[in-house]
Amino acid sequence: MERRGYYQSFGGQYVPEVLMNALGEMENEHLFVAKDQCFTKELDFFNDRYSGRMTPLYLCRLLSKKYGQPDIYIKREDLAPGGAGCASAIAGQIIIGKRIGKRCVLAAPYDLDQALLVSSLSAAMGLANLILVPRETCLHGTRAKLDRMSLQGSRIRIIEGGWQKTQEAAADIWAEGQEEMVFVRFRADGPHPYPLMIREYQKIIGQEIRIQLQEAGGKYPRMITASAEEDACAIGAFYPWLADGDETVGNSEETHHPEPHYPGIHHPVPDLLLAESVSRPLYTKGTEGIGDGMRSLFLLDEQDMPQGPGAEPELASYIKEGRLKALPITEEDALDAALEFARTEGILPSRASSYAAAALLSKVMEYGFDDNVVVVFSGKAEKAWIDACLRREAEHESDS
Amino acid sequence: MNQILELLEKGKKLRVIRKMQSDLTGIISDHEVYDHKESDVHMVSEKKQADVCMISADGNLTDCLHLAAELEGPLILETCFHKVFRYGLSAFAADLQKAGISAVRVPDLPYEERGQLAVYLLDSEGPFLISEITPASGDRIMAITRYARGFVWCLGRGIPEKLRELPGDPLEYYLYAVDAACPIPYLLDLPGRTEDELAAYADGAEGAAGYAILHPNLE
Repeated sequence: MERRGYYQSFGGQYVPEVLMNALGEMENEHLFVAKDQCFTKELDFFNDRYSGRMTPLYLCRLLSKKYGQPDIYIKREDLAPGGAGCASAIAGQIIIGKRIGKRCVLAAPYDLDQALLVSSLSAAMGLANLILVPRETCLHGTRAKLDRMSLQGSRIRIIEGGWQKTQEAAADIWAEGQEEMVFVRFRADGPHPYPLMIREYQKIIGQEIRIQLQEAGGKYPRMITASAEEDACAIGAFYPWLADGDETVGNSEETHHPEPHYPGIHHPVPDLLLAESVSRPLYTKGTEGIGDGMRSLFLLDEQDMPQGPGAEPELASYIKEGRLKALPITEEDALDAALEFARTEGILPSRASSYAAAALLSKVMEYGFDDNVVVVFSGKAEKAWIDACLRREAEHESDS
Repeated sequence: MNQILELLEKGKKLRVIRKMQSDLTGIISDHEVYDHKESDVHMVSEKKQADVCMISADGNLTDCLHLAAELEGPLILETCFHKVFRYGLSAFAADLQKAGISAVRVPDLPYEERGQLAVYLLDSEGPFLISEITPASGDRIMAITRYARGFVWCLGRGIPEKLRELPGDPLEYYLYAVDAACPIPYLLDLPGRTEDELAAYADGAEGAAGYAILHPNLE
């Protein structure tokens, strides 16, 4: 990050003046706590005792045997509370908010699993919360989740319209209530300092992969793949390896999970693969623009305006530098990969994770017998995805 | 010569009325939008107040600039930074000048990011980029206003709790602080106020350049 808040040309703070003070408060506190043991201990407490970290790194014995090449591992972020892989990021932001005296957590999640996570963590930390949910996510069968959030003390506001309207409503509410509210995000995007903060809290995923593979047999991964649509799991899984590209192994003083450190031994950076859907090719075909408080890659509509969330700025910069590769995956390949993992290992990945699974299976034969490859799973397979898998399975059966 | 800067030099208070680009298209022949017909110039100079039209670009920016070129009178263009970015920063600055626009307001371009556009708007007689301050700006007001030209947009939104707890109108405390901290005139944008209230605030604040009516139905 050369210019404050920028990753090459991506990033920045493109928000109204009324929000700049709130962003400044978050940034100052984040920089202050970077070396603060109290913050680290509290975050570790929630990660370990509340979220159940470390999440397992599961060796897919049957799948690895079937392909006969490298050992295939799944990083089970889908076993985190609610299945949302951004628990560490949410916990970190709420702790920051609490430290600077905020009394309420404001969130505008993409789905109800993220909303549940905010509801749970803010209740556990003694803060109120206000969750804005777009009407389009309140589909059949989501009543139970909304009721659960109400029981946990959440205030829920349903916003008519989609993601864009919800973000605008959240910005308005935060502008008026910034003295008592902390706004939390779920992906490493948005205005600075959010991409920085969320990456720092989520990098525990990549650090755990490193430790767990060392314990499993001492071999570092040759490839790691994650989905672009999973909440901040990709940057979390990739960052420790990308940061490693220049320096030594991560900071063992800053987490109570000590990392192995082998002075003088250079570990090659694994191939890092970011899977995205061909129907939303943000990282491969996105256009640079300004939206959601940042300069990044967006898909533009007919009026040349950003449509939906943009690319995470740091990931976009790594792809531009060539340190990370984005791979577009069709829905059919994602469905086939989901069925493969479900049938062979008994794990049905979520829609987003299925794209990562498909990317892994498409590249697995390029690695050797002695190699390890890792795919990050997060989220739960929703009903719509399960129905799509059933239809795909029926198609296969009718073809055969 | 920049028409807004001229009006400010003559000591006029500005009454900025926002019009959406989509509403304006089709009524440009109607002189309702602007005040300064050539034959009325001598009358305008006697008024203490001058109306300024702020065109909010809710459509294509190219069309908006063409529309602005056909209007007379002092104009402000309001747009999001994405449209300016896609247009091209230097091309946008040049076309602003050609369209006769006196100032541009980009609400999502804060002080830290304004340099990339302001560098193309350095001509002292050309259009200027409006800087914005809010009650939450605090110590940043000095930095924000240091290089501002014309006037500063003073948004009365996000009043801190400390001010709201004081007796009386919190806005008066805020405007008192802005008066002390702001070296150049400031335009009041106070949501939820009627025009009479806005005029009263503008008259009461020493450094106020005028007020803005942003609600499209508030005439």
